[in-house]
Amino acid sequence: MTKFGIAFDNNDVELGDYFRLSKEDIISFIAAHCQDHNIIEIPSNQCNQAFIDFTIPQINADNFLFLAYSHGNHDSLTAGGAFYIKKEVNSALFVNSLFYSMSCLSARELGSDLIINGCHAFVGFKENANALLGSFQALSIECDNYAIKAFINGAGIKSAVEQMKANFTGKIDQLVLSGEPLRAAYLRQNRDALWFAGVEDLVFTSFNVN
Amino acid sequence: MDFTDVDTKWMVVGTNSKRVSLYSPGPFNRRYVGEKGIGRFAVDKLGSQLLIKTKQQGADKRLIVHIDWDYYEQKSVESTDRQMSLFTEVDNEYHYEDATPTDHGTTLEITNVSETWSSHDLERLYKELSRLVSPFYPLNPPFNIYMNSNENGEYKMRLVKPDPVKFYSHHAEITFDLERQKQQFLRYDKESGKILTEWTEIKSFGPVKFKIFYFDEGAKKRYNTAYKNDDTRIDGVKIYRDGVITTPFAEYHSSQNHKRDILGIDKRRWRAAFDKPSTREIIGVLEIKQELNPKIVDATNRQDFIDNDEYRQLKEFILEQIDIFGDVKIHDRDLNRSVAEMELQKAGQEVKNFSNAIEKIERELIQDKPHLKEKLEPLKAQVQHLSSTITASIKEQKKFQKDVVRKENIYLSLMSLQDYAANISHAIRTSLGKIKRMAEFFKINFPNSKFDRLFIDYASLINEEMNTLIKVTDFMLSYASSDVQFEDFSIKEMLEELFFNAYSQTFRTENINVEFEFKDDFIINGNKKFLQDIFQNIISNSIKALKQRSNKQIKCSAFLDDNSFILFFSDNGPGIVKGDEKWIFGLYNTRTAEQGGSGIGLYIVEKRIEALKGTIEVVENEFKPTGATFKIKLPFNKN
Amino acid sequence: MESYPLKIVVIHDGLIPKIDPLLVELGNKFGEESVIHFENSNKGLEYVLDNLNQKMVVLLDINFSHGELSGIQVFEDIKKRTALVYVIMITARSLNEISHPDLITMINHDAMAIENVFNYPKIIELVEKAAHKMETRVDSALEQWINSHSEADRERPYLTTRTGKVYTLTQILDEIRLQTPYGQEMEGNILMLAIDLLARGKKEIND
Repeated sequence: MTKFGIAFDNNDVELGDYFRLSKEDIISFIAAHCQDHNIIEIPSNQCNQAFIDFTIPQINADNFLFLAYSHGNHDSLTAGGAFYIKKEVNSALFVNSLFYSMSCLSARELGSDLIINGCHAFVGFKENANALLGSFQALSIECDNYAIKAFINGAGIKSAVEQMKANFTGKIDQLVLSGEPLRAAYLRQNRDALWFAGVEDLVFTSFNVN
Repeated sequence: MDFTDVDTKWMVVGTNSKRVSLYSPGPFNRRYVGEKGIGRFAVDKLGSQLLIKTKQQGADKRLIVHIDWDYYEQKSVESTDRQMSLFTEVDNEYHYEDATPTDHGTTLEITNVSETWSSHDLERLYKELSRLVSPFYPLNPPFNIYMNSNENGEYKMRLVKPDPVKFYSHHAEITFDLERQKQQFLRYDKESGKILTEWTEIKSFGPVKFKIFYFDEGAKKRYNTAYKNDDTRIDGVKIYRDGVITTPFAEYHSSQNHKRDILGIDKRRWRAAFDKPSTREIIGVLEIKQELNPKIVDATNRQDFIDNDEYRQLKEFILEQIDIFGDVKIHDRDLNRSVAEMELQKAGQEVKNFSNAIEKIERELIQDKPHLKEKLEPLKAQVQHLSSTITASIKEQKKFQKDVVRKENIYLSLMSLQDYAANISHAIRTSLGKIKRMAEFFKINFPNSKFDRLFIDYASLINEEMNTLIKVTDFMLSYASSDVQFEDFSIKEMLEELFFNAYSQTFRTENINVEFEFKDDFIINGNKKFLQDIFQNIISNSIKALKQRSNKQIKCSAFLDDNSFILFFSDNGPGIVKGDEKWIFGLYNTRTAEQGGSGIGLYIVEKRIEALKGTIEVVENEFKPTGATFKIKLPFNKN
Repeated sequence: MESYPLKIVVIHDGLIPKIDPLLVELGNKFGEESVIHFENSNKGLEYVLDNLNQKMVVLLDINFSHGELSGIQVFEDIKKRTALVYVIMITARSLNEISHPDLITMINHDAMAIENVFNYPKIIELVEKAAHKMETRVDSALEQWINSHSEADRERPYLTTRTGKVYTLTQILDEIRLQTPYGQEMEGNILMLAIDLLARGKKEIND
């Protein structure tokens, strides 16, 4: 049985839909590739410190995966303008986790703080990241979820991140070829902002707990 | 008045009774004046109750009419459906009283006065009434006015008497001769310094008598002492018709400043003709007659006379006579100056004599009593000192013969000349730049038929630029030769020199009429040529602008305020096109190219003035309908 | 290149209007419509600041008359708003007569060059250099690419930022030319992409 906590800020004015669709993309992947799983969905009105403080301790005795699709800061994840996970506030709750967050900037301080507090591995962005919308939205979401999918499929976490970067590069070239240099430039920015810390050969099977 | 008079004349607006007969019945034979016939109704402003007590000589009863103005007002408010046309439609109370047959006259008794009449008001009334009748050409039989107040003791049946004119310094009188059809006028004789009368034809406005009293400074002082500084009595010229004051002059003004100067005597002084006499230096009484001067007619608004040719000529005539006293003023002033100078010379001479005498004593005594030489030394020193002081004073006197000498510094220094030079050199470089580019273009592109038109244009432009360069260089060279010397000189003298000497021939040839007014002079220490060049430029500009004009005028007026020297320079040429006011100061900008303008003149002028930290600008033109006026302001350097 | 031709803005009051050799040569080399001449420094500055989304090379006189902005002031005012306008300063004086403070201002604000007004061929050369530099800049390259789209495409919403603001292609070019924060960021991004492609040997793609 693999436990997932997935936070997604579906009510966000600009990117609510994008966050929601990202969540749905990964959930259908999990459903297809992971037999025994339990997902705690954390939508906007539960993206607050109180809920996190209450809920996470219930699952952090064992390994678990935490995925976040929301805005962020260098030291926190935010929803509706307030943080719900913040360095030195409740980051220690994520002991035993793989923390995967597609929010801007969080890798800078939150990422390392999580690791210090016992988080096994962190994948996130250390700069501003972009989302492509409209007809390129699916492509953008695919890029975002690439590493976690590779991980679920058996790749070590570090290797999964490398694969994600390679995927970015491939997409960049495709976009350039098809006459989309500005969108390619956005993806290039994302790729180079990607950051990993923690146990390099961490694998998905170690999250199958009873 | 009898009843009919009151009923049909006094009470009726615009009665034409006066036009039927010119004179009142004998023995008075009073000339009817006040042609418009409404003045008397102003009495309602004074008080709401009026009692007219009137009696003709010979009648045995006095008529008393009681007019209640409040009642009138009430009536007119009530009857809104139709207008009340005649005051006589309202019934007034009247009755007769017994009276002495020899009594005559009319009393206006005003009660229920709207405002308190203070003694000041009564004084005022007295003064105004005293002006009503001509002081010099009184009526015969006499027209006497009495003031009677129930409250004020000074006015118990007090006869109103016109003031005799006293304390004046000069006076003159002119009259006319009907038989010979001649009019007198005044002329000032420079040599004798006297005012003479001469004869000429009677003018369009008819024959007039005129008495003028002039008060110089000393006379004014005496006058003020006697009348305790009430100088409202020296109040210019008044015109009487048939012995009674004409209405434009009947208005009261407590302050001299608000008095209406109908004849325009003071207006000329505002335009800086300061040597002309003002209304505060003159008492003038001009006498006209309805019969002899019919064209001088009161305007309906009572403020002036009807503006016809005759009246204008009368005004001119009056001003001409008054101006004679202006000449007197100048002459006296010069006289005083030269007297002072003479005195100084005399004193100088006396000191010399004294000095010689001492020397003589010294020589004679020195043999016998050598110890006296010591005593004489200090005396000699004193005399020496005195002598040199007097000599210096005479020299100064000669140099600055003005009432007031003011010395200021303007911002002219070696630095400003350098700034000026730098500015000019920028202009030169700009010119050279154009020439070089054009020449280089030739070099690079010639021959090339595509540019033929350009080549031709460039050739002529290069030539023009060269000419400009030559002119600008000349300006600079003029400073190389003359020494940049700073000297004390009088601005007024410098300007006078320019206007009446340097340019006088040109003005004559060009037929330009020049007006120059500069009241206060001042001395500056500076480079005379630098300043001269500024004004030369401006004058030469005006001469160019006036080329196509007839009736050419140039006017220059200047004055000082506390902080600067301000000069206005005007011509009546075509003027500056709206929008060009700043543009004309740009280098090469000229609208007088056809008259030879190169566009440098005003540029140079502005640069020089800027070097003096001053300003020059185009202001509203003095001459109408067209003309240009420049205002130059040079600040004083107070350090 | 209809929408964004290069403009040569000449702000100088010592030239012969219309037919000065400098203006004629510039017109020959860049097209008469490309050359604009202002004699008044205030008006010249106004034009430049109103048209920052165009490619401009400015020829600027250092001295003007009283009542107008000095050339140095105009220069500073332009440079405060954008680094993308090349300014060539022109003076009638010899170069060593320029005041110290003025020189410092010009150096600090990246005056492209200072040249003497007597030497117009040299000035033309400088303008050509500036025009060339301008062609190889990101914004010019971007402009070329944008102009390869149809008018309709250029005005369609193209990119969204994380704050939800939508930009069309034309707007993106404007942001870059106007040097807004977004414009600067986008410019940086484009450069980084180019470098990335080059580094991976993909330069033939960008031909």
